[in-house]
Amino acid sequence: MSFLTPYQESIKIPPEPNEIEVCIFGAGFGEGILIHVGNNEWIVVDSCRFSGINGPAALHYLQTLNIETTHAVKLIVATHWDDDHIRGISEIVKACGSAKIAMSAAINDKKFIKLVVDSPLSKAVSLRQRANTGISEFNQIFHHLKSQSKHIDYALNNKMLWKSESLNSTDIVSLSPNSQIFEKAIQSIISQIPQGNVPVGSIKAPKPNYTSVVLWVRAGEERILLGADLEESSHYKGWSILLEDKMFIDKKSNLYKVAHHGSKTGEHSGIWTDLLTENPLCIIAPWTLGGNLLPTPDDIQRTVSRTDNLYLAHQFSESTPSTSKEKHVKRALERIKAKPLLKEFGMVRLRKKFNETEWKSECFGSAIKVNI
Amino acid sequence: MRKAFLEVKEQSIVLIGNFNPAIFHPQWLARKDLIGSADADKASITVNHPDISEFQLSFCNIQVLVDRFSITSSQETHFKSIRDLVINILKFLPETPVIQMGINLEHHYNFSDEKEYIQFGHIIVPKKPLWDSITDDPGVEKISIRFKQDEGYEGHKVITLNPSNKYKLGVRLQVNDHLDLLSSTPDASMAISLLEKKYDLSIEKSSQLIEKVFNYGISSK
Amino acid sequence: MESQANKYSIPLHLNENSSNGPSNSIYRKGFAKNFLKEAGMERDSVQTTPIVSFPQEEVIHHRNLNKNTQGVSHSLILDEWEGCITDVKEDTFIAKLYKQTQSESDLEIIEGEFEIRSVPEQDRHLIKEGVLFYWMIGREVKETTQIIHGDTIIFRRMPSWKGFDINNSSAITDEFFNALSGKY
Repeated sequence: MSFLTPYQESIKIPPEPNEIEVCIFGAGFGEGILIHVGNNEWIVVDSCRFSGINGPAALHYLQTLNIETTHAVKLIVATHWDDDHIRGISEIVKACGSAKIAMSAAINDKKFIKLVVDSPLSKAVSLRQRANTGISEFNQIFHHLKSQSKHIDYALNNKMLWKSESLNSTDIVSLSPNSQIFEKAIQSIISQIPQGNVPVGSIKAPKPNYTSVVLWVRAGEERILLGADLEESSHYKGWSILLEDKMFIDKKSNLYKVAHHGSKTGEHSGIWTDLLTENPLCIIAPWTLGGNLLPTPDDIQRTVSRTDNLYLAHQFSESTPSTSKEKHVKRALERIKAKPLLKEFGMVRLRKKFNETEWKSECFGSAIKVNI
Repeated sequence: MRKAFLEVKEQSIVLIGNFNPAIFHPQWLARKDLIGSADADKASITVNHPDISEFQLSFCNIQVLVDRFSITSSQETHFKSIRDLVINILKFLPETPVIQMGINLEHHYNFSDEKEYIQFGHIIVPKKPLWDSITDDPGVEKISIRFKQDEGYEGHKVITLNPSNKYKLGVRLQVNDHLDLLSSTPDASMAISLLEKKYDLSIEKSSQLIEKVFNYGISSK
Repeated sequence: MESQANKYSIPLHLNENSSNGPSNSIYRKGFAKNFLKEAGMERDSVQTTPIVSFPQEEVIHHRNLNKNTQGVSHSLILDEWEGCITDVKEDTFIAKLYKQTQSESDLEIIEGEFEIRSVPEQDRHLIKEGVLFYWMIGREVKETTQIIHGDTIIFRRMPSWKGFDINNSSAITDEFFNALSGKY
């Protein structure tokens, strides 16, 4: 079964060699990005799954386009280890044998490695345990890379992660994290580990997210800013630190994947003044957990005051969970007031030829353009 | 009208190795926080002896001999709990040498009609032309088929069919997923690893196999 | 850590009844074999199936019943989820639930709110953020053949963090750290 089935005609057409494509997948609890930088060279940033399909969304989409993933995918970036950004990424790593793998330099620390490969949690994690997605995915990636004698490219501020050698030269540069927060990042992860006689369970990814990798894509004349989950708060001035030192940024971006699901904590005025053109194309991948939704109506209002071109990769609806028809199952789900987290497919696809000025946008599934 | 119903599923894990039956006691499990204290208090102990220990908890039966450990449950809600319990026990006793393991699933089907029950046996084990010609009124007492273990694992699988000991017109179908644990260090590590990785898949495959055999047997001819 | 070395130590409950040590009648060789034989269980070979009894007496008893179905207490699952507690409130807790299916295409993740009083008292101390449990929806058939539908929470009793020191590196950690950094 394919989530792309209703859209067979238009969605199956791959981008042309001189065409940039940016796909943002939104699953309600999960986001993933796929970028074509020309000449059948692809970049994967984070990963999510949709209810109803096998495999991570990006891989499924590439297979639908008949793209051979082993050589076509050049770089895979895991911006951080939150469950909603990483589901299925180990599968992508295994399927894309030639790709470089990049992760936050903040986790290039023996303590984090030990947590992932040699802790009671790593021993308790089984392949089918879904509650520990972040650690489980990293565990699988680490084991796979070691078995292939491949290493990780650790991303930090102003580091070139990948450079294309094709005609329309493309750079992928990481703008964060900054080394000054590495110690804080590790301490915040360690602080989540229970002490003493507490049974092994799920480790919560700490807040604020110190490790998040913001990416800057330079493809020909295009500039794309992917904000990941970088935040700005009293505890951590992630964006302020980034804006102080932006040596690679030669030109403003006209396409922005809004940081931290469009939330207030992902916001900094300097993003709009220093990094983005007037009225940029913005995409938010919404998020939900614990009855909280991002972006809030205020978040949307704030963002539309900055741009007329806002897209949501997924629109929340009042869908009922579970496809089970069994009445006792339905009753039990009603008793716990069950709300679905993993939702139907939503994808914003943007395409532009290298010599064109305007992006062509398409919304699939539950993705929408916000009407002002 | 439906010919038969799946009434009971039973799951068991059997380890062949070297054990000390005397230490296996519900209170020991509770002290290690592997079961609740109320579960331990309500446990029914059949015997606790250096050669054999056997007791029943609310969700499973445990039997330990000097060379065998066995845990069985007919509460499907606890099939994963018994796996967790065995893994946790082995993690507390990591030096326990375990050389073989069985992950076993059995289904008990209950037939509504004696004719259908007998017909089931005839379809699975045809009595013509051989058995009818050499015996009077032949019936299936027990039949076992052995086949290959999944790729990457040492051992074999056996599927067994015999009358159920729970229902008058009942059929028992069991899959024994037998694993030989060939390890350079005779301890519990390989058993733990296999239980973590293979248990769920084993139950799923065994369940599919049993259902295939059963569905074949109840198909009309 | 428990030791296997003291194989023939006297179990506590036997020791209480004996003033001079274990009774010879209990410690005779082949106790286990005789015990199983008396219970109607036999081991035919080294095999990894449980030892069960099929005593003829029980089968005859079944045939005397009017109904086909003997009352056998058991439970069957209709739906199965793995849960992870994300928030604990005064009377309830919130959890993320992952549907237990083998196929990724059927993956479902939901969020639900459970009443703390629905958890057995012996397990309530386990209700903490991050703790894992199974949530099963199914039916239980009593020995009286009465069928009860419901759902149950079973906490996963995992090994603990006790004794784990993240600050002490290990050989495996060093190996992975060097490999992933490109230093072989």
